[in-house]
Amino acid sequence: MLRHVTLATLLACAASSAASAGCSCSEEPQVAAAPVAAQPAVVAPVAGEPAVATPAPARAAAGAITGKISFEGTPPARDKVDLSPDPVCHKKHGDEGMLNPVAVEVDAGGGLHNVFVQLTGVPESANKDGKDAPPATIDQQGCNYVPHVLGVLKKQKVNILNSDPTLHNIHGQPKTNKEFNYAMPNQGDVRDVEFKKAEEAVKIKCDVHAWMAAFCFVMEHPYFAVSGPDGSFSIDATGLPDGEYGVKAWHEILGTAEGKVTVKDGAGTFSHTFKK
Amino acid sequence: MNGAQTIAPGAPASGAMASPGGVSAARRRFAAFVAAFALLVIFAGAQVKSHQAGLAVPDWPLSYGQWMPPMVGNIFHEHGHRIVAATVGLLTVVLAAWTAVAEARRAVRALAWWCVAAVIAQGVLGGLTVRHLLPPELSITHAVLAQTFFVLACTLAFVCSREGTRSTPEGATPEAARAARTAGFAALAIWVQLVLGAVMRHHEAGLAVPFFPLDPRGLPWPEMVDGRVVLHLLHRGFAFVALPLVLLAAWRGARALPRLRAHAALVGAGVVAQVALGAAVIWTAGRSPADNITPVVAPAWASAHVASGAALLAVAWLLFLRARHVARPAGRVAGAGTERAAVAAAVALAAVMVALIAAGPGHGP
Repeated sequence: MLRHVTLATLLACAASSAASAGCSCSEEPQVAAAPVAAQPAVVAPVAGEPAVATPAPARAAAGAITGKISFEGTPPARDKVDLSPDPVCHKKHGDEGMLNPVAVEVDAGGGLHNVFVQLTGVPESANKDGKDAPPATIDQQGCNYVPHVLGVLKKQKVNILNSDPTLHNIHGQPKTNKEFNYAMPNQGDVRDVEFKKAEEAVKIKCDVHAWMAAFCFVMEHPYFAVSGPDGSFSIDATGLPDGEYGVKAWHEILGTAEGKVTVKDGAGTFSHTFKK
Repeated sequence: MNGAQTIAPGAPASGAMASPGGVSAARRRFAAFVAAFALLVIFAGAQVKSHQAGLAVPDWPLSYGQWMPPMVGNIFHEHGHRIVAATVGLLTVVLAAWTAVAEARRAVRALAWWCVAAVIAQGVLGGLTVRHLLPPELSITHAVLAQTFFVLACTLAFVCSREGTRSTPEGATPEAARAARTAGFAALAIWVQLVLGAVMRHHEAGLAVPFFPLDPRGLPWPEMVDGRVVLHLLHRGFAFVALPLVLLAAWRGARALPRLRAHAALVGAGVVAQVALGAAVIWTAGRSPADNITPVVAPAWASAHVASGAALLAVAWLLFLRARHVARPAGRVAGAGTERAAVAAAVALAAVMVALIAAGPGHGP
C-alpha cells in the first residue's frame, strides 16, 4: 500500500513539475490524492519530507469524476507577508519573502488552485467515517500550512506536525466541532486531532504568525478532492451509484459555486470557471 | 466608622519626608508609580487584542511550558502583556504590604488590600481567558476589571498624595459640590463607555460600522444591520451621552474650583482627543494578513484609543476626588470615601465571579 502511495506521489510530482516551472520535489512536498475512496486526502511520504495530505495535480483515472476549476479575470494582487516578527520564518524565505497564502492562485492556463470540490446529494449508504482511514496530515512548514486546503472524513485522525524550528500554536476554529488550541514549541512536535462532526471550511490558524491559515473540510462521505495547481481535480467514484449529483466548489476568497454532474459507470466530468 | 479622620490644624507630620497625613514621599511616589504602571498594562493588554494575539500562547500560567519563551511573532504581545501584568501584581502587593505597615488610616489600608484582590482576580481571569479560548464574557470582564483596578490604584495614589493627605483647605461651596457631583457622573459615564467598548471589541464588532461619521448615503449606520452593528452603534451612541457630560464636568470644575482649572482643562481636552482617536481607529483600518480581505484595526491606533480611554477615566475620577476633597467640610482629609470605593471594588469582583460562572466551562482543548 505504502509503495503504491509513494508511486502515485512520484507520478504526481513529475506531472506537477511539468505543469509548473520552478516546482521541484526537493523543495516542495508533492503528494497526490490516492485512488482510495475512503482517503481522498492521502498521506504520502516523499524523500525525506514529512508526510502530508495534499491538493494534488489530479490525474484522470478509471471510475473517477474529473474536471478543472478555472478562473477568468484579474486575480487580486498577492501581498508579501511581513515575516520580520519571526527571524526563523524570515530566514527560511530569504529576501524573496513569501506571498500571502490566502489567495486566488491561478496558473498560466487559468487553472485555479486550492478549490475544494465535493459531491452533494450522495446517498446516505455511501456515508462513512474515517476511523479506519489512514491519518491526514497538516504540516507547519516554512511558517505556512501544507496543505492549505484539505478534506478529511469525520472521525479521521489528522496529524499536525511542526517541521519548523520555531514555535507555532495550532488553533482550530470549528463552529460545530470542538475548538482547540495547542502549543507546538519544538521542531518535530506532532499532535493528533479529530473532528467528530461534518463541517465545512474549518479555519485553522496560528496566532503567533497571523498570516498562517488553512481550511479543513470534515466530510460525511469520501467523494471530494482539492484542485491542484493547474485547477484539475479527480474524485474517486468507487462505490458511487450512477446518477446525477450536485457539485459544490469552494474557494476561500471566491466563495462557493454549485453545479451538477452525471455519473455513469463510476465516471463523470465537471468543470467550473470562477469569474471576477 | 466611616474611615474619615480629622487632623488638628498644625499637627506635625510624622517623619522628616512625610506629608502632613503621615505618608512618606517614597510611598507617595511608589503609589503613583504603581498607578502609572497599571496604565502601561492596559496598553499592553490592548495590544494583545489589537494584534489578535490572545491565543498566541496557548498555555497558562507558563508560556509554551517555559517562563520565558522566544518573543517571536505575536508571542511578543501576549507574553509581554503577561510580564508587565505580573510586574504590576508584584508592585501592588509590595504597596499593600507597605501601606499595611506604614498607613494610619484603616480605610486606606483596606483599599490597598482591595487593590491586591483585584489584581489577583485580574491575573486569574487573564489565565482563564486563555484556557477557555477567549470567550467574550471572560475577555470583557478581564478588560473591565483592568479599568476598575486602574481606578482603584489611582484612588490609592490620590489618598497617599500630598493633596489627599492634607486637610481640606477651604470650606464647601454649593458650586464645588455640584462640580464634584458632575465629575463623578462623568467618570461613571466614561466607565460605562469603556464597558461598551470592551463588549464591542471582544465581539469583533470594532469595525462593524466601517465608516465615520456617515456613509455615502449620509447615514450613521450601514445598510445591513446585524448584532455586531448594534453593539458598535451602542458604543458610538453612548458617546453622545459621555462627551457632553465630561465637557460639562470640565467646565463646572474649572469655574467652581480655580485651583483645579488645569485638571479640568485636561479632562475636557482628553475627551475630545478620545473621540478623535475613536474616529482614527475607523479611518486607519487595514486588511488582515491572514486573508488580505477581512478588515482589521491598525493596532497602534486601537490600543491608543483603549489606553487613552483608561487615562481619561482616571483623570475624570481624580477630578471627582479632588473636587470632592475641596468641597467637603474644612478640616477633613481624604480616606472617608475609600471604604465606599472598597465596597464598589467588592461589587466589581462579585460581578467577575458571576461572569465566570455564566461563562461556563468554555471550549478548552
